[in-house]
Amino acid sequence: MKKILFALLTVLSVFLVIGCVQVQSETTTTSITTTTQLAELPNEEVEVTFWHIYGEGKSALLDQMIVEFEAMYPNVTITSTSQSDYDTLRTNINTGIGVGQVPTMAIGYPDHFAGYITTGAVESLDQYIYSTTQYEVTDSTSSIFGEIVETGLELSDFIQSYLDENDQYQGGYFYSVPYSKSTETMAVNRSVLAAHITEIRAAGITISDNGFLSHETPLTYDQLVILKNIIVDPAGTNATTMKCEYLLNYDSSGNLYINMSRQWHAGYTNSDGDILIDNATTRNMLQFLYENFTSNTIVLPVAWSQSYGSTNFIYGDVCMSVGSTAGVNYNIPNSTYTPSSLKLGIFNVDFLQVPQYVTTDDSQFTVEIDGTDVTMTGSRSAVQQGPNIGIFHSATAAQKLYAWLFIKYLISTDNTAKWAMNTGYLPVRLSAYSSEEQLQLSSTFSLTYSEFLGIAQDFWAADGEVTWELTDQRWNYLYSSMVANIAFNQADYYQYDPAFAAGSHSAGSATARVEAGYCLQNIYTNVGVTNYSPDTALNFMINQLTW
Amino acid sequence: MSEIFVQNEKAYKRKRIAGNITIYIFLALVAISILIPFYWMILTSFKNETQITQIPPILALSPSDWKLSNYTDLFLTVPSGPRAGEPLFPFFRYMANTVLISLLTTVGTTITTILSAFAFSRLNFKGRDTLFAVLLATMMVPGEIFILTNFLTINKFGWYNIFTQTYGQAILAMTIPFMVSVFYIFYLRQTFKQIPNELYFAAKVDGTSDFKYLLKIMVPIAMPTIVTIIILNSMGAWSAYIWPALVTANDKYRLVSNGLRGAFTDTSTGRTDYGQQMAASVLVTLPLLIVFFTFRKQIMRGVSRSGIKG
Repeated sequence: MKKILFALLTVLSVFLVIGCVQVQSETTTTSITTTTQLAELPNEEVEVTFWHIYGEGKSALLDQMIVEFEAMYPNVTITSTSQSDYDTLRTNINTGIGVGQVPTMAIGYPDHFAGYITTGAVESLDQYIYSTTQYEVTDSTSSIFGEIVETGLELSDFIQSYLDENDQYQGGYFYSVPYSKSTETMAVNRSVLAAHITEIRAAGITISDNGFLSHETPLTYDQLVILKNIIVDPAGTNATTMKCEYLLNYDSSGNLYINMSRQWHAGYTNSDGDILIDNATTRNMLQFLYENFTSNTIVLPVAWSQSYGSTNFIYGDVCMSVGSTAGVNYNIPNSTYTPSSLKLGIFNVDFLQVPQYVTTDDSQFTVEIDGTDVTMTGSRSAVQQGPNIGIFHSATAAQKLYAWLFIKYLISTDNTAKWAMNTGYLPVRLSAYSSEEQLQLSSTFSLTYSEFLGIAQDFWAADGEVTWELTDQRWNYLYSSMVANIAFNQADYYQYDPAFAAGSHSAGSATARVEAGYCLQNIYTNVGVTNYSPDTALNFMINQLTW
Repeated sequence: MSEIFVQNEKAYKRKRIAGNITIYIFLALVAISILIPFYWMILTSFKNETQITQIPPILALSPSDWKLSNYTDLFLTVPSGPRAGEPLFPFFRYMANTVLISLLTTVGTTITTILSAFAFSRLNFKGRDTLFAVLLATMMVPGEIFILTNFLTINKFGWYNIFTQTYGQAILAMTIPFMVSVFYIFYLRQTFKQIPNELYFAAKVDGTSDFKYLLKIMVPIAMPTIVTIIILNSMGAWSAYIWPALVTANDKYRLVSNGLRGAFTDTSTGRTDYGQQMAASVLVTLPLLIVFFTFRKQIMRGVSRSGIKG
């Protein structure tokens, strides 16, 4: 007995000792953290640490921009470090916050910044954005010696939804600004559409002689159903009739859930961290999706045990596929595939906007759910994704000022255009779309961003019958140009995902997104199961997200 | 009588053959299940993007279809810009870091384990069993909890400063917290305790010091256990991921496991170039295989040799 008591006491003492670790406790703060504006540009040596996730190969352009910035401010050194991936980046910053070891600036998703804000670790950028302070560059070795540098940022030049995403936090302050953004577009099998032009036109849908649908107006759900009845054969893909087994694949089931809940005004989450999914509209939406899964109208990559549906789009299993603009080239069939896998051969691909339920926001639409017509109010919506960039509070005033000037340099008109063409992301400034900055895409090919957009516009204007030589470099950038145009056309209705950290009554926004994806995958994998109700998946999701 | 004996012998032989067949089938299945991931890694390292995503999967490739650029591209350098000439994937740097960390951690762990196990099994001092019980109790605390305490410790020592961290400090931060393992101490202590006291007393009569007795008698006898500890510890250090990523301020200080995770993922799409990733994995695994086959006899002898019963 004495020995048992002694053992218990020993174990208890170990836990007590381990529990004595003193770390900075998490504090919820709503106060704006500001730094006193400096009267002059600091001349002392300043090191700015910048954490991102870009590997050495992919960050060549970023390195070049750093060199250019350091030439503008010779007393500044930008130490750029890749943290490999977003999880590591967030973990290292969160761990570093407890011991005051955070970089001067970092990229991150909105939910990352929402977490940093709760500990007061991140700096509000309003003090710089709205500042009228100007600095004269007095360092004679600077590449911009004698020039006047403005601190403020002309917000009117940015895509509005990008700004909305970055000032959604407590107090409506900007704790980050947009940096590398992307969205979703829809790849379509144009060869299948071209094979059914007569039927499609007879059904009232406008289509060109070579199978191009409108690039300015998104397809509505009603039009999708019409197309499904024409180009889908649930028995399997058929090369003779030029029909696919499924109509529309969604790579990201999380995005499908979130975007559709916005389109249906169903409620999802808000920036206060409220989970708003327990309502009749959401239940209707899930039942509707269940029926569309059953009818082969919508499919998820889990149907083929894949993470992405692009391979099966190429195989001809599905006629349309919604995925990230950055992954455009994964949707293009080519001769490296085994011919027997390509059920519809090597076909033509076009890109369209993400399908919508209404053509104008806050208007009504009707869908059939469980055999009954249901009318609801909806709006247009397309997801926006990609990291933003912000500054941490613990840096010195000089570090923060130069970090801000560096951010302004990274997202300047020319640089955001350069970054977009090099990386597959989209420019964050409207002026970038008309930028005259020439970007060298290869040793013999350079063009401006507007010329880059013009590649697809010329192709569409010629109904695909352009007279370019086979060696013309425009062919290499045709599909990238297509998605860039489509992304710009749907920028009017981009919606951002509310960001919040886990709280006392709910999980954080990152978990909500994951659970939304699981919910739809759960429903998909239960298609055909007798007496199954999508409510089961929703109830599970509610249980996971709220307490 | 002799007929019965012959029949029994035949039955015994049949049973033995059947038993052997069952054992060999079982061993073959286990061997296949262990080899399949290696085969798949090597096969994938020679596939192109479309072959990797092919449904149904390609189970074999003829040499004419091999995509050797998965390997050669690992050694490409940055063509232009401020990092021109530097490798796109700093394979050799990561490998050097990994080898160094593995060696230092393993040597350090082995030394602390041998000395501690000797103290807890052979030396008599006040509070020995209590101290050992406290150490054992720490095994009940999940390893993840120690990440925070270790991080705070190395930060207090000044080894983690994102502005000033040197390579030496990064090495210290990655190795020192893992140079002691309570499990290995417990493991070796149990082996040491099996060594007869008579050996110790005989050595003492001959005038041998404790340290000499440890080196000359106990370590050689407990070599199978020590070799096992060295192998397990090396494997752990080789594949460490979270800690090195957490305590290194500069990506140049990291290990090959960190490089494999992020270097081949397209940051804009989240998609991974599995062909190149698997080619890099093959190159990472190769040194371990070479070491194993070179020292196979010693390793197998060390692991299989039994200790002296006490």
